[in-house]
Amino acid sequence: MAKKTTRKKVTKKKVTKKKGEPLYVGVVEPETLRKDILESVRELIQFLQSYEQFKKLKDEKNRTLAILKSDVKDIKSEVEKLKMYLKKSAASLPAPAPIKKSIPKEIEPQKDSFEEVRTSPVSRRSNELAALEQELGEIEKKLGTLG
Amino acid sequence: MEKMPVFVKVDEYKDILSTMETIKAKMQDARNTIRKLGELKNEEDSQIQTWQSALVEIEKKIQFIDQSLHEPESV
Repeated sequence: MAKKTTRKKVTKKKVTKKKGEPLYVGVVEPETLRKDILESVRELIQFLQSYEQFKKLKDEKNRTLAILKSDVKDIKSEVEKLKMYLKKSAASLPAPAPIKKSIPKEIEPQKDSFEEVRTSPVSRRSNELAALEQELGEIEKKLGTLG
Repeated sequence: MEKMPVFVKVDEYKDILSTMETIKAKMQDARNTIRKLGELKNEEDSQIQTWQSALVEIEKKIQFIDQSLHEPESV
């Protein structure tokens, strides 16, 4: 009996690239890639959530800073009151002959350092800074005379 | 079930690569911003230290004034 030789039918598909047929790129380890993408998105969402928490902290910090500013202003105001009281008491003691000083008319009356000026916040802040600097200069001058 | 290979269209692949470049650039921006935030925080901390020291000095002077007023030299 003749051996029947059976051959596997190998069908070769002729691949003909049609015009306009899109090309595809194979993705290496798609599951790992997908996992990385999802984990990155999760971490970014957590980052944004923690930013909201940070914003709350920042607001609380700004409120606390405003309270500090108010406290420092109050302290300054009280110390100036003290200064006035002590000045008055010093005035009641026999004092040397006052030195006459001619005040030029051009000088404008000194504004209160914390006078509300209706300007934009940035220019208001720079006005406040300028007023504080002027006040500081005068106090340092007075301290200089004390020796 | 056999794991099917994943293929991406070339046009989308180019978009993906472009998006990756954008992501990398944004990550660099975020890194720079965080570094700047760190610098600002250090400046803030330094300022708070200065305030603390100033408050200690002012407290000493106020204590002296308080002491002087409570213990007058002569009445």
